[in-house]
Amino acid sequence: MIALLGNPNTGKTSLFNALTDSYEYVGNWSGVTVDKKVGNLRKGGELVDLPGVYSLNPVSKDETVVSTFLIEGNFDSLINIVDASQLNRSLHLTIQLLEFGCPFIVGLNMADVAQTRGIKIDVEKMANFLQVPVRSIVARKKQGIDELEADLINIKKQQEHGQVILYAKPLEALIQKLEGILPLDLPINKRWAAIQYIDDNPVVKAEIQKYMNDETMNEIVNEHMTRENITEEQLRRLIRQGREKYIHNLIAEVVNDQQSGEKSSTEKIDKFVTHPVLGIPTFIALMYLMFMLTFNWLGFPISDLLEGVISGPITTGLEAGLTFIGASAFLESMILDGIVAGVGGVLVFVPQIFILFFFISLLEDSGYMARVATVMDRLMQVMGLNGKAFIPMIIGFGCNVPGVMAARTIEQPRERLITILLTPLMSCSARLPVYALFAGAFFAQQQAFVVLSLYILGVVLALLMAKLLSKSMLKSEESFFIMELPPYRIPQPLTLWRSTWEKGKGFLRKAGTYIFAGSVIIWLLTYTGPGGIGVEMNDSFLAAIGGWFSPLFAPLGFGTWQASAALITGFLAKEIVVATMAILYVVPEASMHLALSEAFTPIAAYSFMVFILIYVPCLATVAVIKKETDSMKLTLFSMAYAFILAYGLSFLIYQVGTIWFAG
Amino acid sequence: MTMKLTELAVGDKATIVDMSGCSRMIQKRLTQLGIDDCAEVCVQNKLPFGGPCFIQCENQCISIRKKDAMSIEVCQESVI
Repeated sequence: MIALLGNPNTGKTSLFNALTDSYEYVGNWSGVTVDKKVGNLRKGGELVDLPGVYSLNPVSKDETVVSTFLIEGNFDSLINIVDASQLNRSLHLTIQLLEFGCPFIVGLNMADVAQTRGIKIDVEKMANFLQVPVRSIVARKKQGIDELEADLINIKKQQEHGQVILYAKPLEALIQKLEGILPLDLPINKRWAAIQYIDDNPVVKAEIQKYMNDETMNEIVNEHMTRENITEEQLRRLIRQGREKYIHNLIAEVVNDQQSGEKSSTEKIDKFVTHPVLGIPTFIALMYLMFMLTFNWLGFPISDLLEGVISGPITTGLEAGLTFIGASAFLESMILDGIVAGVGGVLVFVPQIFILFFFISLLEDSGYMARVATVMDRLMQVMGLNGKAFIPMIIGFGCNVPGVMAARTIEQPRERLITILLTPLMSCSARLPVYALFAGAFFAQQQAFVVLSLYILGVVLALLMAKLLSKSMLKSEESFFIMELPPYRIPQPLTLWRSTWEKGKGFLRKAGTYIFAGSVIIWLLTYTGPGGIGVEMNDSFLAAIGGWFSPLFAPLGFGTWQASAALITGFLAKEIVVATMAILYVVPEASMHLALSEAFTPIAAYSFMVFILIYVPCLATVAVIKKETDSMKLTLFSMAYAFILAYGLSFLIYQVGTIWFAG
Repeated sequence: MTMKLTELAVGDKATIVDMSGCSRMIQKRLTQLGIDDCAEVCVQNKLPFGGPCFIQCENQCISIRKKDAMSIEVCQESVI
């Protein structure tokens, strides 16, 4: 197994895609790779894409993943991707890898960007200096990939034993002392471990403690500090200075720098999108544009067209086919009233969901997300959160599952936890079919506005809940925010399409599995009842189950057994609500809109949409919350608070709304 | 003469003299990004209401909170 390692925003994920021919997620804000990701190499073998790090000494949780991965050592070699236009910074990580002493090669990326900035790097000299193979590549354009692959095959033969970079005297003496007392069976390079120990690397400290009591080490460090009259901070500075010196020598030898000072287009765009006054309005305008395109201007007409095809030619075609083969009434009803109504009812919304995913991918890949996080930080700070929490929330608009995982880049544990708990309030694409259905039936004229109001409601509730939670939960460490703003990049069409497809694929897969099976089961429950098979829908099992719960929802305006049944099934996946509704309200030759308007008043419909927005995260989200928080208590809390909040708010909307419009 | 980073105007360049006033985590991250004592920085933007400020250093742009920027001491060299 080979692992890919490098700074954030250096084109690591692009290189991963180029090497593996796989449809992976490419992003351009710090930490898009939120989980260890494994792909199959074109030339055989596996490639792991690790989260972007600046150093092997971690600050946030996803950075810990990298250090742990290296120490566990379940890999053959590494590819260290180095940003040619940020050589100085990138090489700090390379030095730590040299000291760690595992076989690796350097992929010198973005050589083209460096060249336009007037930086010329002699690759051969660099390889000689580092004593490691170096290849110049442009991952986004797939240049130099073949050569890199060839190097990968050769590298397996040469084994490295860790390079020694000498540090200044007081530090060097301490390193050697610590190196001497580290236990022999410690499975990592001892010099590296000693340096990282002095640099206060928590992962390395924990690893050493598995083999020995590190009190002796602590004593040696303290004694050394008093004797040499040096502070911990100074020791750490000496480490950095030693590395700086090495890098300085390297750059002097291999780089020919004639930098031009012209203003980049990034700075010009930033003047606008991070403008003190225009920053937030620009963000809101972009969001508005995204929703108008998704719902009114582009998405709705296409969905409408698709609905015509499914309810028209496809249904009549199937009907004719089933009659022709002489299918039984049971089978005919299952296929037409169950599968076509249920799965078809959800598939109609595929165009709108893909358009939404396309825009989210565009935001991620362009580098705009880091700006949004910065612009929003002040507001989020007031709410007891971090500007970075905004990124998981925007991703949550697509799907809550990756949103919850993206919270890993938030360094502060308490802020990360709150973000995880609140991301499910972001209206994900699976809830969109429900809104589209109800908004289309009840608020046809103001569709985009009504749907947008739900998205905004989710965000506002999340912010208010953040305030509440950060006040009531233990105030532990201080909050901090620091973010790198990568240069803007125009996303490549192919990358954008892959990114959109990667997200949309899940929705289609769900339609084929969950929704398909769910539709059949729901249909079966409506077709059968205590009285036997082929009963009236009102006497079916589903009517009975829904009927038990319906009094609970009556004060919210939707006390019908149909609504209750849809809400119960909606826990599996929110779009099943639409599938269920489509099966339950199937009226031949009549539109579903008409059937719905008989069952709901407009206020009840809005109350229902609000309830769907909040009531409980879907099964997959609950599972990922459990995984990320590692706490059953918090997982249950995330479900309970959502249900209570949803009930209270829908109650208020329905009761107040009814009085308002009646009077 | 030393001053706080926040006292610089947008577009001003200065050299960092001391950032030991920052929290440990911020210091750690800044040094990882190559921003340390003696580094030359340029203030690119300041957001209103005490929002973050953008600083540029070695071809990269970074945003930090005002509170942290306030605890970074810089020195503006006079250009002769």
